[in-house]
Amino acid sequence: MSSNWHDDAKRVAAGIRRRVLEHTINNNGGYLSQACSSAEILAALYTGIMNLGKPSTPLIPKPFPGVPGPYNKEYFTGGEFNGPHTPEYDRFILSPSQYALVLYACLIETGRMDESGLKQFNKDGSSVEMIGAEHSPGMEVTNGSLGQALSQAAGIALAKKMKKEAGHIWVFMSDGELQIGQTWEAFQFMVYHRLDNMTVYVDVNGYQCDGKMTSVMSIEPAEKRFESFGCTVTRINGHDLNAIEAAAAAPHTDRPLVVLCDTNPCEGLPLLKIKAPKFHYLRMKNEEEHRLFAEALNNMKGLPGGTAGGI
Amino acid sequence: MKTAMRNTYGETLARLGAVNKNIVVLDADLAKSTQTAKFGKAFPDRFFDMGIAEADMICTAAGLAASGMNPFASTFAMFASGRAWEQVRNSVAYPNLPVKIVVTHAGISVGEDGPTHQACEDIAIMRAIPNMRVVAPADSIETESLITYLTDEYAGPIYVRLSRMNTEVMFKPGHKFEIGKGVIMKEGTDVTIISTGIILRQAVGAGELLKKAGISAEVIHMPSIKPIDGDMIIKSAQKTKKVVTIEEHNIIGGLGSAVAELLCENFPVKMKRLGMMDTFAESGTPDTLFEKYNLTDRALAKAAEEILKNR
Repeated sequence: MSSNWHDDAKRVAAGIRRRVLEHTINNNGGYLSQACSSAEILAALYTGIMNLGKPSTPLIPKPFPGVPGPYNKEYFTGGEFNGPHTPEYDRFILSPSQYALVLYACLIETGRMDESGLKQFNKDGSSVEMIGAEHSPGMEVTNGSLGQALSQAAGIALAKKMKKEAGHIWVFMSDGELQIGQTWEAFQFMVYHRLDNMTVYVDVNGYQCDGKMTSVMSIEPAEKRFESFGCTVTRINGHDLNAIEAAAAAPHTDRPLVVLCDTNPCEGLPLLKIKAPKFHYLRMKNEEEHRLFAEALNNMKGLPGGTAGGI
Repeated sequence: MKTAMRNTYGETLARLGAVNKNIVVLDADLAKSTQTAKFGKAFPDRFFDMGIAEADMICTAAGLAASGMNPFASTFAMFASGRAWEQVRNSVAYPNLPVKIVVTHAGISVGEDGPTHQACEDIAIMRAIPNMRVVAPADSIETESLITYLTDEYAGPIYVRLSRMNTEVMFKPGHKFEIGKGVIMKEGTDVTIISTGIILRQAVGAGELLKKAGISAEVIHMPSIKPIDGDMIIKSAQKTKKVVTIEEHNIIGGLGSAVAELLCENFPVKMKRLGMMDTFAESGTPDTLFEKYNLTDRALAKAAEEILKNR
């Protein structure tokens, strides 16, 4: 891979943090720590690792098409933001759609979604939902209920194997999902049926809705759990692009590959530490906090990739 | 002649699998009981025993359906409708995916397996899900027609409720299952009896008992609980002004409730619902349990006579 790819990923990662921070300030709320922890993972997947087709121009999200059903012929998924579904292209499945805002920012930074799309975020009648679903940009299965998307991704991977299609299935998961029984049912299936056309990146940021995971329900030792399930597993620094890239290339014949990415929920935004351990959804408590985060945003805009001038 | 509708299910799948190469069958460690093993033997490459992992089974089936396959997922009624309810709701019904959930061992006629296996709430909780269809055929002939319809014509989510026990064949060869349609087994003018599933035998028997007592009962079989045959039920109620329902299900939320909802809003008449009277049951032979919980032709005839007295 060329170094250009890493430069691009760095720019995208910085853009993800900046856009999500700006959005969080403007809306006085957002899933900000998730952007800080996963920015490099998503940036690397989209800029250098996955083999996705690309829309010819950045897409403007369509309005919510109405609930799916037998009489709704207008229904669509957000899969088109990830390019066409052809046998040879890869597929990307975001499992925790609490990361929706992060993914939207990533789609903008990688030229897949028009930046005006973020203005529709969480608005009535918009498909750019706060906790996205399969009609939201970049999503194509029901992923809001944690633990269900991995099984669906395994079904998609299985279908690809049965049809002898080449494309790989990339899944992004949160560490909280490792607490869910169904997750392990799915890995059991993926291993038994040798779904080596699947790679799962897990954002191990160590926090969940109720706080620090080690104070709620520990998932450690995570890599040993995956090993004993028969996955090929590697554990890396989830902010290190070299490590993220190397992990994707790890041989995993006959086995699914799991990449545990240790990440920092405040990476790139040290100020966020003042909210510890309440990282799940950020709200500014008062004017002073608001001012501090606005200042941090201004500093970010001066950094490489920080596209001064904003959205 | 008695046959088991679950045998017919397995045989029909195995036969249709030769023609329809998109059929994929999943089971959760009950393939010999649900009879999907028959398909598995014929098409091992398209049969997946998921182990005791119903949640994963339902979502994997969703992934397969989203990839253009035609998945059937089978286990006992208790585990598909109970353990995997949220997976059915979010991963199958919401996106309106064509996953055919075919369950066996429904109701108290699972018998000696006892209360943990006697699903008498499944119609209620499945029909409460938008996009879901809920059907319960009466015998092997209707089951074969239904499975053929699901394979060749219907492309949406559906819950099919089959029974464990061998049951009388109620229909002549050539009988066709139609979604949203009931079957008038016997025309009558004094009282309407409506049943679903294998309880049809008792309904027909009650019709004969009533005839001997000089009462003209109209006996309707309603295999399609959702969508229900509103026209047929309303017309019959307009004629008889009295309706008795019977089902192998709690009287809360099942066929009787569906009929009551329909008639209350369209043509209110005197009604009596027979079924499990908001109680669990116990281990026992099906006939002992039918007797104890008043799911017999005699109990039904008696209920019809009583409703006629209290006009």
